[in-house]
Amino acid sequence: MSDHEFEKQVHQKLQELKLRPSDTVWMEVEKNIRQDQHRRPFLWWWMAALFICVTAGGYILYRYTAQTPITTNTQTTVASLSNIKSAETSSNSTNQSSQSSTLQPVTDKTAAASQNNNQHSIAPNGEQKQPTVEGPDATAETTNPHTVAENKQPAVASADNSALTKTTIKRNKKPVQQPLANNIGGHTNPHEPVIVSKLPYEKQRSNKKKRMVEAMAITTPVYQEKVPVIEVAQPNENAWNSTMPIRVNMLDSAIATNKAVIMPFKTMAPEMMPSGPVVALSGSSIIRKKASLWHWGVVADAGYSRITESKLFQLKGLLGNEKFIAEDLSARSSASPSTSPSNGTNSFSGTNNQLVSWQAYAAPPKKASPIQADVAFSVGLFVQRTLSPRLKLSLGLEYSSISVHTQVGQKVNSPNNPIVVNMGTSQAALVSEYYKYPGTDTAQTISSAAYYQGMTTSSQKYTYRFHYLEIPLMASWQINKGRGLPPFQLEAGVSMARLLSVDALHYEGLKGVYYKDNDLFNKTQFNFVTGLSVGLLQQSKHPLWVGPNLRYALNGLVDKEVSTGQYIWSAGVSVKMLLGKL
Amino acid sequence: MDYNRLVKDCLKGLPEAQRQLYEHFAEGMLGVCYRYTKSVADAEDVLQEGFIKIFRNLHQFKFEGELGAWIRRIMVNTALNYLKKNSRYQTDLSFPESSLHPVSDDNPEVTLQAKDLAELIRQLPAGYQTVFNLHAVEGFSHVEIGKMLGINEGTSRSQYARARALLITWLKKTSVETKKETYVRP
Repeated sequence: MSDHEFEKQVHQKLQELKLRPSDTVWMEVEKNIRQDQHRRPFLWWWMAALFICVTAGGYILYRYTAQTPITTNTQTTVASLSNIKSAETSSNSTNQSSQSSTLQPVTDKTAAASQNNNQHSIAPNGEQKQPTVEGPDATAETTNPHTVAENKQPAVASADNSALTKTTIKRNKKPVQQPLANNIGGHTNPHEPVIVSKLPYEKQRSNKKKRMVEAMAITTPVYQEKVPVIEVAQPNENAWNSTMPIRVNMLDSAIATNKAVIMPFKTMAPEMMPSGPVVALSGSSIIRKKASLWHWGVVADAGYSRITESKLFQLKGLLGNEKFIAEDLSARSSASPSTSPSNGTNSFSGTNNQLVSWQAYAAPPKKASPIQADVAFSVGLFVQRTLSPRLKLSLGLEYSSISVHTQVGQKVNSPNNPIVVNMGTSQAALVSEYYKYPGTDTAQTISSAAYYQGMTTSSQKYTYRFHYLEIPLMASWQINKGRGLPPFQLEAGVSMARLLSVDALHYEGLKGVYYKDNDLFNKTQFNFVTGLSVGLLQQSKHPLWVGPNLRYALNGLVDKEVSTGQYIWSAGVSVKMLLGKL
Repeated sequence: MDYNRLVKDCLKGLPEAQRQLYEHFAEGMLGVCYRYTKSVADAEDVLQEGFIKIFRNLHQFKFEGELGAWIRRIMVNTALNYLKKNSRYQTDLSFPESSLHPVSDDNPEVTLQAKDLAELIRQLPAGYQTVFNLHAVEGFSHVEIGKMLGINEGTSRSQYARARALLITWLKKTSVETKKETYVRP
């Protein structure tokens, strides 16, 4: 007989081994197949509905913003001033209304008391109201006062503390058969007999669940008898949860937190306590490694960015080619172009950047060049805390680079002959280095003659670059279980971004020049961030989340004293990778 | 049986085809699961989980290979995962590193019925049982077993040798007892 004869025989014999499975196996398999088949179309419908909603919402938003008249440079000073006044008036009225609508303290003691009672679930006679239980058990629990009195919680606030305390202690010292699944669904009364009807999924033949139930059924009485009980007297008798002596099991002392005090007899099965310590019931300790809820990873976004004009949440250009023009910071200025084109020199004579009436240029304010989308990206790290199987919270630190570009004209550097630029309603500044309006190549272009003659030969692309250090705080909600399809999650949050450096221009419409003044940019930006991502490689050590995201600044890019509002936003694809646990 | 057509019908979601596929392979696959576990209930759990995986991933079946082998491979993998996840097996499913292992050249004739032989294999410690099943029955090499179980090749060899020696001892003992019984009761 050869060396492998034994193996051959075993192999041959065992190939013949056939056993007939019970019918329940096929029933469970079939049930699962049907569930999968039903779930798939539903998911697709759900995704389609979500897509339609998002698209419709975006379209409505787009239509709304598109119909809003664009701020042009033809605003008159009078109009600006009147607007300011009306704004001031409205802000005053807002203040008044906000003062008048200040909430008054509640004086109705009955209402307050009833509210208090409701919050604490305490009946007027000091008995604890039992939590409402749906189903046939609820009636028995709520209509039988004797049962309620018998099943008094150790940590229940009561009017007659001493008497009730003793009674409660005596009752509690009896060995009590702990009902199964007593704490399931937040039910915390250890003595209350709870009839737990079997749910369909519990009827499935899963050995894991069987073991759990068996373990609870067998070990719970032992738990009650063997474990010494400590009575803890609470000093503040009027406080909630502290009016009664509280019995804390030694077993629970390992998790002696406030929660443990409120629910001293909370005895969840080990399988139902993913993060809590597991207590040995019969001497042999079951050591369960506590699953870490903290993860860290890297995140990177790449896409394009735009700057909107004068309106928050304008998404014009998100999917199309619509362009915003650069904001004219002199649009609200009280200076206005003179009708006399003869005087071509600057007449800035104010001090401390105070505006003087502008007589130099006869040309009407020029409309700026469109600001076009350019590349935006960010990279960073984040830590993530799992709050529930579907809900996660993350905090990150990212470097973000946002850019847009526009067309400007010839660069002029004339330290000896600076020009005055107006900004806001009443400010002006001298600039010696600036870019002319695109398409113009001589100093005369800022005069009316050149403007109307259209001497246009010079134009160049100028890219505005903003570099931010950003701290995003994000919440993500997994919208499906990720069984049939990969998991999808919605993300939303806010971020605070600090401007590290900037290379960008402002536009002055009266003279049609672009100039630099970094002090006018807001140094701190608050952004709203949202996205939808799909989970990939979920079984690997480094799960990946990929999907589109949108970041929109909630405060203006430029100081509101000089700007009516420019909001920077970016859209792109975000890739997030979990690298490990903390 | 035209397996290709059966699979295509299953992919279309025809319940009859799904039932037929299950019934055709269920008995054999329960035999596979039975060898890896310690109880019929566990074996049925593995079978159930395995068939759910099969139907869920049937679209991945390439019609080049044999359907039975594909299903068997899924069952074996499901059984291994079950053993790894199930705490009852975790303590027993240990693979101590050992380079020394008994060498047994015995090749006794296996006169037992398949069910009895499977029962003997199931009496082995879970580690031995798993390695023996994978090598002797499924035909995996020790290198493959090492990769599947995350152990060294040498450990797999050692475990297998011990399992084999133990099984041969039991087989001989069983054979003697059977002969005695036959003698007493002619």
